[in-house]
Amino acid sequence: MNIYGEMQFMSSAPPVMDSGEYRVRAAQKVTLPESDTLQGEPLYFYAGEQRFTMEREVVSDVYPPKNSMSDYGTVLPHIVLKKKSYPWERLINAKKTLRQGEHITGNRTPWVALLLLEEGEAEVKTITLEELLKEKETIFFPQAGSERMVGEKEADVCQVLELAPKVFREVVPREVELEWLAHVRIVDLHAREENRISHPGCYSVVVCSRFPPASETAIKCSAHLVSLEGFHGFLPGDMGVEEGKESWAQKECIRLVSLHQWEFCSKKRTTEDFRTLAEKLDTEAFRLPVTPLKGKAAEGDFKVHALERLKRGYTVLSHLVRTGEKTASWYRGPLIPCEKELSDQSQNQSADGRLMYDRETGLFDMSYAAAWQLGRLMILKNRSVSAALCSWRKLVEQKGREALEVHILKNHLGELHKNANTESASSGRYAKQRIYELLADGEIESLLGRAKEEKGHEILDGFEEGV
Amino acid sequence: MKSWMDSKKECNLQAADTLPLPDDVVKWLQESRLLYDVPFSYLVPDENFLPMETIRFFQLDENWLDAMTEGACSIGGGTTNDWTTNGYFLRRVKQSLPLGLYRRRREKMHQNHLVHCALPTDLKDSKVRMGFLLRSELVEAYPGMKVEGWDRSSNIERNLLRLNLLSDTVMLGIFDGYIDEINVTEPSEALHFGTRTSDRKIYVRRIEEEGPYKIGDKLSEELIPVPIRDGRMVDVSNLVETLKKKLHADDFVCGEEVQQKPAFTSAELALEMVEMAAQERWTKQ
Repeated sequence: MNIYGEMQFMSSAPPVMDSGEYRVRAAQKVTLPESDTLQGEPLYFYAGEQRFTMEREVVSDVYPPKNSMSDYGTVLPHIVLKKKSYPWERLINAKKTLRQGEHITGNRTPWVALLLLEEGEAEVKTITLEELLKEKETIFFPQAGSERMVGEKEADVCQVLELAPKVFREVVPREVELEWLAHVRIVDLHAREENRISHPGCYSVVVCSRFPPASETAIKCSAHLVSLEGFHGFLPGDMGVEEGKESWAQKECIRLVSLHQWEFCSKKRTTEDFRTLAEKLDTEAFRLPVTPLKGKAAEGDFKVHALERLKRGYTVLSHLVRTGEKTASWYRGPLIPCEKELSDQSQNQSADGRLMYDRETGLFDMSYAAAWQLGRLMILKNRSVSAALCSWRKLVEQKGREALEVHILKNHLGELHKNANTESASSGRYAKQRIYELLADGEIESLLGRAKEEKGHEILDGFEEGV
Repeated sequence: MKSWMDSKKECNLQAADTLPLPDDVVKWLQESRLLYDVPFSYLVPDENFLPMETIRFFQLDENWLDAMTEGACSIGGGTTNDWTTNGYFLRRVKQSLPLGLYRRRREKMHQNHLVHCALPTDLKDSKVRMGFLLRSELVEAYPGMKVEGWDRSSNIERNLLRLNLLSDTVMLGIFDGYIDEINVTEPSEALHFGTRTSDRKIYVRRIEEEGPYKIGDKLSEELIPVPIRDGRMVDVSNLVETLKKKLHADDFVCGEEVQQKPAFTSAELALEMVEMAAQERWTKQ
């Protein structure tokens, strides 16, 4: 493993389990009352990646960016995959099923490669698996004739590339080169966009070994991540096989399954890399572009004030007033180009309470009124949150009522309460019970009478009445 | 004598203080302070605020956010003797902000990166929170770029509270504190292989530390050509052999003890070929 700047490299990251079908068998041996072995039903499961398709989700980034145009004559295209073991999930030698016993260290041959093709070099087709696996005289596809695997249906479709033998020889890397064209990067993601930070930071990268063309006219290129499963011994330049004598040399075309593809253009003397894109950005504070007033404005001119507001990030929006008239009002969102102003808007339990009138320009400032109203709408849109808030309010009010009851009882039945100053003196229930006892004894009337006289409240429930 | 209504309000307030607000509610209120769920047209009311290929610095208007929070908390209340007037919720929500604003990102973040993510040491509400809106093709081409916010006047890096793509070309970032510089770096996982010169030559980089030299430092000023076959195919085996020879990798050094130089694998090849991450800074004017 190598550490370079903020990044670490690893040569490969083979999967914990090789692709294939697995069987779990379990048996229970008992010894009492007599020895016996109970066989469980075998359980089958499948591990690994699909052979002919790749989920879009696996791709993190591609380079050159999709549909971009720049001078890519000195760079090698690549694809970054979110799954660190993807390039090693399957084997280029399809006949070999397990890696058992192989050393984990060192380089590993990936089962995928990234090809770069110019327009016209290959034909891209979408075909069904049924057609793909059918053997054809004119087409070389090592997996033709093989059985469909678990989860593969006849009608499933996949993308294939069809290359003439001459092109195949030129654009496909040799088998010995493959291991050098994939590696793993370990990256820290803490300062990244929110959707990326849940990734552990281990990516696999598959690099193309063909440079894009450098030409004065734009040349459209496409990059294809292809599966090489089954191509063991059939890749160009394979040791011991003379050129022109390969098993595919006389075929019309060689078929490769394309797992992912994208396009870009290469043209000399155009640069659109990170630096050039970043350099040309215009930096400013968040406000509308303002042109200063021509000439000297008169004292108290509303234009001066209006300009001042624009500088502070305001804009004027058309405003349909509740009563039906059309007008215009100032608005400024939560993003402002300057320090916030002092504002006293507390104790306003409505949007209207947050309207501000701008005397100088004769317009209303709707900013905080809009914010208040928006907050209300936003929480109402989120049903579970608004329901939780309302039930919390209810709970508080219920507790408050109980506390109030105690409070009232304490006030009015202070003397009784003194006697009850033991264990659960604070609980309203105790006081209530006490009152019932007193009522039964006929002693309470005088007390209640006094309380009612004083304030005119029904006290037992803690509710005000007839206020 | 105190009125009954006052006592009732007081009792409610006391009860409220003893009852924790539901976590969902707190979380939602905290997130709304970072403008999650706020429609884009409320943030950018006019396209001229944010034309294509611009970056705009802003400060969060706490007054605006307060109004929004109070609006949100007003549901289910609103009677004349509502005990939650006088900004009861607002005070409660604001108390939870210094840490609460970090919550969403920290909960989403994989533990591998959490170690790099500082929490504020000062739990007083810092009040000033700044950020940027970026609208550029850069966002579309490099959505995974690394973004840092700096206060250059006191040379402090500010913690990220939010970094999101609002669309293919618009990125929103909010930091905890004052910033006057944004530092962006090309995403390192997406750095490409490339050559130094237009005739496809590269410098050889060190693959191990040696004396004052670090991994990745140039071995010498010599530029070596990348071997090519069939027009534009890199002759990988040839390139690897050349690099190994230059670096004496995979050689055995015989001496008192037999020492093996570091192996040369696809990881080392990546180190040799990968381009440096481009960096750019934008300063607030």
